[in-house]
Amino acid sequence: MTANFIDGGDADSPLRYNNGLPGFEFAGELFVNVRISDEVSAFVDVETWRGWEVRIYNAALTYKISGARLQVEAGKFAAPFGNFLPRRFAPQNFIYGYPLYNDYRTGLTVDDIPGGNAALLGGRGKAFINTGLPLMARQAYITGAQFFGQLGAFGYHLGLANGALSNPANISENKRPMIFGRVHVQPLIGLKLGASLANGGYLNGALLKTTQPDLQSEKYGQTLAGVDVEYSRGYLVFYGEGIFNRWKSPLIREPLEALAWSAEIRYKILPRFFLAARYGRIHFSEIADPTDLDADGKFTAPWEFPAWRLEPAVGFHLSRHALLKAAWQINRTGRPTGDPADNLAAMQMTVFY
Amino acid sequence: MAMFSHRCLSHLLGALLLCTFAGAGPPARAQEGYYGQLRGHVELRNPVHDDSRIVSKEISAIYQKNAAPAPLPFEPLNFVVYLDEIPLGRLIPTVEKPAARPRFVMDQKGLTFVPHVLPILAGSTVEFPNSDPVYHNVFSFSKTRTFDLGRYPTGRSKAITFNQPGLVKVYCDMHSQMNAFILVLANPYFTLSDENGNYALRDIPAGVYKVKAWFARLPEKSASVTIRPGETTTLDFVFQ
Repeated sequence: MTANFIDGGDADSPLRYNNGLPGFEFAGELFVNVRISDEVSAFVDVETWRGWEVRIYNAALTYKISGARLQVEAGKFAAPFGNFLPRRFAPQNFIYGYPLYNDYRTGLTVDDIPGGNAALLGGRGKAFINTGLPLMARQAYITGAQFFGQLGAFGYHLGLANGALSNPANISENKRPMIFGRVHVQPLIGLKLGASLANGGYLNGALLKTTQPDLQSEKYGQTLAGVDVEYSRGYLVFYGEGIFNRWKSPLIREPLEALAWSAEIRYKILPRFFLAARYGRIHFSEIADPTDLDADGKFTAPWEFPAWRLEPAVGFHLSRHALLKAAWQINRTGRPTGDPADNLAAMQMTVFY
Repeated sequence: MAMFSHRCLSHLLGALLLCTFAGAGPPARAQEGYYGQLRGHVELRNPVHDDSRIVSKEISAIYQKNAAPAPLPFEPLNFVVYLDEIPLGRLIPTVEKPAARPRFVMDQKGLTFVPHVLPILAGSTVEFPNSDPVYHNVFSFSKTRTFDLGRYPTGRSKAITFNQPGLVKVYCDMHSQMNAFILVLANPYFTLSDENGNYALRDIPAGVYKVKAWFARLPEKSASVTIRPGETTTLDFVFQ
């Protein structure tokens, strides 16, 4: 169970939180892992969302075909991409926030398409009403099936699911399934290297039919490729991630690309105390800007504003099962009309068993 | 104030005994006609299933090369029986070489701490080697001794000295099911029961003592006992 107090800035940007209003938040998480037989197990993760609305994030059956070397999982499960999702929960997340690639909402949506370059460029930095697509959803739990396993120091995942990582749909929303895969290797204890890839359809074909009856939504997909590293020794833990993203949008000729990376560190200074910080950046590719919207004399412009985030935090273990954190999130977006601050302060107490 | 003095005296005695004996445990050479023995049995009436050693799916995958430990049907019967206080007049005059600090080992093996319960004399040092092919991070937030050894790999070991008597709950920061207990005691008159719950304390100076039995999950039991020279006294405990 987790209780948060959050006070964020009220600037108009994709990183604005709760319209800038300070307040409390509560989240409950329940994990149930049932071993049905030696080969079959079930895992369910039920969470409350922004209050008391209950959501099932994880509900999957796993069958061991050949011990830990080859297993198959079907249902709804965490996308095997990068190294953040498994530790997004408050007890495992050293700071309060998520990486920028989860939080920064672009001008693309699942149920509408930009009418062209000018429309997309004109909507930059305005996806703060929570409809814009991030590179990867905060809760990237995908519905499908995967094979996974461990072969010595190597681990792998390969599977099919609905939607795309920016829109992990519970039921299929277009004719294009997502194919995903991940490999990771642990060359020595404490060092883990990973590479992930996912490609799927992000548009909601059914919703688009009303405005775009001839659109073949399955033709337009999202490709996400990432590399990640985890290193730990003594009191230090380090995580790094780099993600390359490409969307295709029907009425825009250029691919819509983005590059995001983040580096995160935690250091225990005393048995109960730790210091942590994450720094991340996100950049977007340039597309044609026939009207020179930025008035900078260039006829190309990034299709979304770049952004960076620095989030230092301090954590204190009240007990083995209770953790108190304080974090200060410094957000900046590269808007040409200034640099509106969307800083956010958070206090978080989590109790876990 | 009286309680404070009592605790101080108890700690002083513990330290004095530590200097007196060569290592943990009672003196090797008992003087006939002065010492007695205490024997008995500790019973747990309602044992529970031990879920703490069932490893998760994720950990099983990490640990696949070495078979994960099989789930135990019931919790292990680790009872510690010890004399709570030794009156000043009962100090044993046997003096051997000045004691080196006793060292004990609590291994991290098969994603468990081995042993699960470790009674030690105050002032002793415990080594925590990592014998697993994964990182471990031993820590404790117990008031008796708070420490965090950080992450270290296979073959490495770190040590902690426990000077203050009391209970230390030991965990691994990376594997939440791993737990163990270190019971730091003020005098060397303690023992761990065998797997059937039987125990024996030898070479106890004659006198009247308060004896305590400790079990991780339940409140301690205590009883008063009279040790007579050359005799064996029997004392049983029941936890329910």
